[in-house]
Amino acid sequence: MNAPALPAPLGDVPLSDVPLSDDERAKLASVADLFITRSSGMPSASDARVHSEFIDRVFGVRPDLLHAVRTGLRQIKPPLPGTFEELSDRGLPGLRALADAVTAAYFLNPDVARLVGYQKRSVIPIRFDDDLDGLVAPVSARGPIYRPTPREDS
Amino acid sequence: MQHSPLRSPSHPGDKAGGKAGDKADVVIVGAGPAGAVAARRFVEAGYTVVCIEQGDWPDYTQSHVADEFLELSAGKQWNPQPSVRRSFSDYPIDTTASDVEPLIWNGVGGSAVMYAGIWMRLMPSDFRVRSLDGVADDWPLSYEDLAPYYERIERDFGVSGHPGDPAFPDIDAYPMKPAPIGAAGRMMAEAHNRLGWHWWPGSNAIATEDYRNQGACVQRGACMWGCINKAKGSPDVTHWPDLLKQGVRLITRATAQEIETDARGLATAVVYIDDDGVTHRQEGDLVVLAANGLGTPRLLQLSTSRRFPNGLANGSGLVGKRLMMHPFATVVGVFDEQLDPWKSVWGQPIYSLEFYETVRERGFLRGAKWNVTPTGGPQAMSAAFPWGGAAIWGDAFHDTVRDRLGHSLAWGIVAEDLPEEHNRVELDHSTRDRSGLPGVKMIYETSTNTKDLLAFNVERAGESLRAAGAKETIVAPMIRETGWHILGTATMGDDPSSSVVDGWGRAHDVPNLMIVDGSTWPTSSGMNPTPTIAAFSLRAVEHAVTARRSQAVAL
Repeated sequence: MNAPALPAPLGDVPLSDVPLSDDERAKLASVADLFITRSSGMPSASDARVHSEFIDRVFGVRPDLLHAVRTGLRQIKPPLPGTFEELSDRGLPGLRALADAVTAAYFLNPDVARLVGYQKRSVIPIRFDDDLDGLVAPVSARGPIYRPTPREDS
Repeated sequence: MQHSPLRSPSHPGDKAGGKAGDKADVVIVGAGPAGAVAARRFVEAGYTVVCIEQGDWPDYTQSHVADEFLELSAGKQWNPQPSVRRSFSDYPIDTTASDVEPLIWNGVGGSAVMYAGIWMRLMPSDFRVRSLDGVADDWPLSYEDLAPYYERIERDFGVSGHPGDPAFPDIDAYPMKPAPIGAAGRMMAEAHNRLGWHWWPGSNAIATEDYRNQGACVQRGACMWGCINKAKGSPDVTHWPDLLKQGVRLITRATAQEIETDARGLATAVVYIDDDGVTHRQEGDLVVLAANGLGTPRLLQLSTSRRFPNGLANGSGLVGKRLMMHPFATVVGVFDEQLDPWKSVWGQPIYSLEFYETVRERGFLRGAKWNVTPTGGPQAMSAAFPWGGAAIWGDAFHDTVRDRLGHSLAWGIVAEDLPEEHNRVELDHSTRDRSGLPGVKMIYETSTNTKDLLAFNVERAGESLRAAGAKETIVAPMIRETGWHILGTATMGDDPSSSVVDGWGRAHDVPNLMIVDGSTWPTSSGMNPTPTIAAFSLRAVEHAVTARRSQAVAL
């Protein structure tokens, strides 16, 4: 995979609650595609609109991650490396949080969730196992495995 | 010592909780399992009870267990690590000198609001470590002493399980049948049957049918992040709604600052700071601490006076010491089979005690309990728990997720941790909570015995998974963010020179002060501690009620 074009450097955007700028989103798209590539029949992060609709959904539930994403992006100085491994080798402290946010945004895309076979949690009524006695029979047959309270106590 | 009995346990016309500011028979600090159990028994016996809780009720309207944001919320709002969650009720905890991060929840229901609901009694040997293995200390009570209380507590917390496990003397019944063991549990059960190793269907404080205040579990696999079905047995569900009706006065958003004592060294009141920063005194005949293995020593250390210059109930010098943390490892197996771990209870589908008891030839003492634990949804596939946290991004990302997601399970390994005095909790005067009180500092180093114990069990867990057909096993040898079980920091014993409380939870130095939480444990066992904390609290309170006529109280 070729290294994506690097967006213009960010200005002195304060690390505050202001939404990601267009430049930040462009940089996020490029960086996120290093984390999650288009391969194995799966879309890349930017294909899955991680940098737009879905990172905003992440921030809707986790506003604290806006700061983490912005910090992580700022730590990545040009030139943007060509692979995740090269990026990881830089040892940037904010990379993990950025990767986690990108991963969360990626799997929030329902098309991605469908492709990996995941559905949100649904109600599944309990149906009790009816064969437990048989299944534990070998364990029971071996007898007690605990050490009893010493005799002087009893 | 002059003794004045507690008031008669029946006060005609007296609402159990009394009015704000009234002296109470009993003042409890902490509304988690230990405090809730104590409150229930005292109020049932007719006492006026006030409970001071620094947090608030869990807000299940903020739960995301039924939508796509579940795993995101688990990273913040429903995260058990206070340094991540940063709730108003969390006090600062310096963990720079600790191998393990503490996981607690400060609020009504206590850390059980975020526990998995895994329900394990201790085994008889856990109470006799000195007698049987020649290390640490025996408890001043035995398994047999506690067994009747386990049975009562299991009814109160709505426990489901399969009776008859030969790892215990006498578990003859559970209130409810166990949850399905699922594909993952069944696969490991069959593997252990082939190996000739112990396993048993999981016992969990998870209702499998509608039960008292609990709804039947609907298997979202999300017990730890806000069970909106109220299936999980946490005290905000199982105890507090009833306790309020019974008249217990619960004061939330109230941070206990100090336990006051009189000239005779008897507790007179709990001083607390309310949500507006106003200081109050709640007087009581009996003070009961249930603030967990960090909060309880912190409050004792804060309660200094001329008579108790080193903190309250600290004549032994052991308040805050002997901290035990249950270092925790996981071994994940990746399988071809479809396991769909998000379509089951979380808790523990099955557990194994095959390697729990001491076998000296292994080169270490004591052992570990294992439980099958689900591995979660897609966002969890790169997480530290249970995968160890190695980066999976880049070219291998999709194939790794495809391999793991829905095709994996983990053995969670709880290691018994023996007490060492250098592992401890101290006040940290360099930090302050929102009330201006000092935070705490944890000094905790995992022992060689614990490391050896974990290494052995990790090897065996790998064997177990491979016997079940795992095509790959991944070891997280000791995960830092797993300090669920904080024990030992106000240890119990018969000798006042080497313990803080006696076997009934009564402080040796302060006759009307009780401690009923996990800080009282002389040894840690290798079990999830909530059932034993709750059973001990019930036993201690039952004794206090029985012995009320000889109970010393402040005049």
